[in-house]
Order: sequence, then C-alpha cells, then structure tokens
Amino acid sequence: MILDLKNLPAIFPLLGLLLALHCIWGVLDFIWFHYLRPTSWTRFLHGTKPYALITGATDGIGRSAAKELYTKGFNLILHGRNEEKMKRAVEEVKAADPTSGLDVKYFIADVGRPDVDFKGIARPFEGLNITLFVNNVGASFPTSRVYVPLPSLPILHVCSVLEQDRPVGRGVHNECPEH
Amino acid sequence: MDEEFITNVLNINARFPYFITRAFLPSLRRNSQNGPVEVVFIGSIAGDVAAPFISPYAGSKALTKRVSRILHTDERVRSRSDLSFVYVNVGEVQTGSLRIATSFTRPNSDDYARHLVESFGSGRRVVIPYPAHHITYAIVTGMPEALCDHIVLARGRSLLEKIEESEKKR
Repeated sequence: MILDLKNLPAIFPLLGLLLALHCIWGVLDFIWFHYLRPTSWTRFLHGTKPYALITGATDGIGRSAAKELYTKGFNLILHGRNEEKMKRAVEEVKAADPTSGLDVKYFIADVGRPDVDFKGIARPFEGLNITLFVNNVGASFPTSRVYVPLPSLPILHVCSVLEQDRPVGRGVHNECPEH
Repeated sequence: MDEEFITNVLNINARFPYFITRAFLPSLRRNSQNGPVEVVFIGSIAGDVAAPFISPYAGSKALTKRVSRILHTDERVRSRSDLSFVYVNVGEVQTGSLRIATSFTRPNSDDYARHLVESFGSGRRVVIPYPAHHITYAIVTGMPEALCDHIVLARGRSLLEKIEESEKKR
C-alpha cells in the first residue's frame, strides 16, 4: 500500500482545511454581496445633473434598467434602433416617476452596421455629467439585414426566414436545427 | 451562419460596446474628476460556457469581459482613477429575445433590473447581480469541462424546445 491511512502526512489535513476555507469564503462572500453589502449605486449621484446612458434601452433589461435608474434620480440618455419604439420607451420611463422632472434624452443608431459614427454620436452629449454608462445592447442574431422585425422572433424562426430569403446553396445555414 | 451573419452579430455585441465606450471616454474621464463614474458591460454566462448556436454572440461576450477588465487597469497605469469598469454576468432573463415563462433562475426584466442597479458601484470587476444566476454559475463553471458542456448542451436543447413551444402558442 502506497499510503498509510493511519499516518497521513501533515500536508493532507492542511489541504483539507484550505479547501474548506475556500468554500466557506465563497458562501460568506455570496451572502455579503447579495444581502448585507451597503447600497453602492448612490455613489454615482453626484454633481448638478447626473446622467446614466443606457444602450439598447427600448426593450428588455435596458428598458427596465432605465425605469429603475430614473426612479432613483438619474437623468437619462437612451439608445435604440427604432425611433417609434424609443418614443414609447421614453413615455414609459417618464410614467414610472411623473413628478421627478428629470431629463430624458435619446439617440438612434443601428448597432449592427460597420459604419457607425461613434465620435458623432458622442459629440452632442460631451458637456453632460454622465456618471453611469451601461453598455446593454446585444443580440445573438443579426438585426439589420432580414426583412421582418427581428426582436419579436426567436433564433429558430430567424434561421428559417433567412433560409427562405436566400438562394439555396449560398444561404443555407447548416447550424440551424431541423424544425 | 454565413460571414455576413457572423460579422453582424460581432458588430452588435463586440464592436459597438467597445467603440462607443471609447468615443465617450474623454468626457467620462473628465466627469470622474468630480466623483465616481462607472462603465457597465452587460455580459452573459454564454461568454463562459458552451451554449449551442451562438458562437459569435458568446465570443463577443468573452471579448467584452476581457476588454472591460483591461480598460479598468488602463485607467490606473499612470495615476489614481475614479473611472471604473465592470462586466455583468447575466443568466437567463425573460425579455423580448427570450419569450418564455419566468422561474427561480429566470426573472423578468424589471425584477432583474432592480438587482442590476444594486450591483452598480460594488467595487468588483465581474458581478453576477441575480443570486440564482450566481449559484448556477458557480455550480456549472466549477465542474469538469466535459460535464459542464454536457449539461449546458442539454439546457440549450430544452431552451430551444421551450422557445419553439411558446412561438406556436402565439
């Protein structure tokens, strides 16, 4: 027998102790981070007119985060791809706290394009006191080349749309599942 | 997936956040002279595990995670800085792009946003604001890689089925 179980080298209990400490630390840190930690977002409410910028703010997490920050006292700069949707989102955000009188600005940009004028987007907002910058925009499928409003479609559906839109052979999407 | 598809998804998830942050950097630096300023990158657990069919998306998130961490370091090379960068690891959330029922591990976006905003200014470089996502992440990424891939694949299959089902109902 290679290991004498009755006389283990001292390193083993020590390793066990370290592993246990590591696990306990993970659990304590989880409790600290999610339930005990003092509020930290208030650090960004400074200066005369603090702004939070949120990209992809017309739907989902972006729109919800915009509402949440607005009710917490942030002025907003929102980004979206569709002006109509943006106007509705701005109304919804303002309705979350109608008496606050906080400012809501927005800009429109198609994030999927290769020729976005980033400096041009930033220029009008240069003088503002932006203290939070939330890069939220994202999508796991293309947004600018298909002919239907994509955010309302799941990926499987999108794949079938793409297949129909392209000549077979060039546009076959092998990765799309059978359905 | 053809090249155009992949390029478009890379533009949305990697290039846009990187470049728009870069364009705003001068004013963010200036504002951080008067108090703390934070840049938040909304990421995804997909950047850390092998979820099926979304390699351009997941790859973009992995890139963003690393870029975020290094931008934070860059600001501190020559002097102290109050401009911080944080990458947010998001799990499943019910939104316009994932229209399936909420559950213990899948909050709706309003519920999620409350936790998200609470995580701002925490001083961490990578955060998982939603407790159930944090637990899932710890379990999945703590596994041997073969087991992790197996579980994520099974999860991906069942998610695709649920999405198809909810689409049929609509």
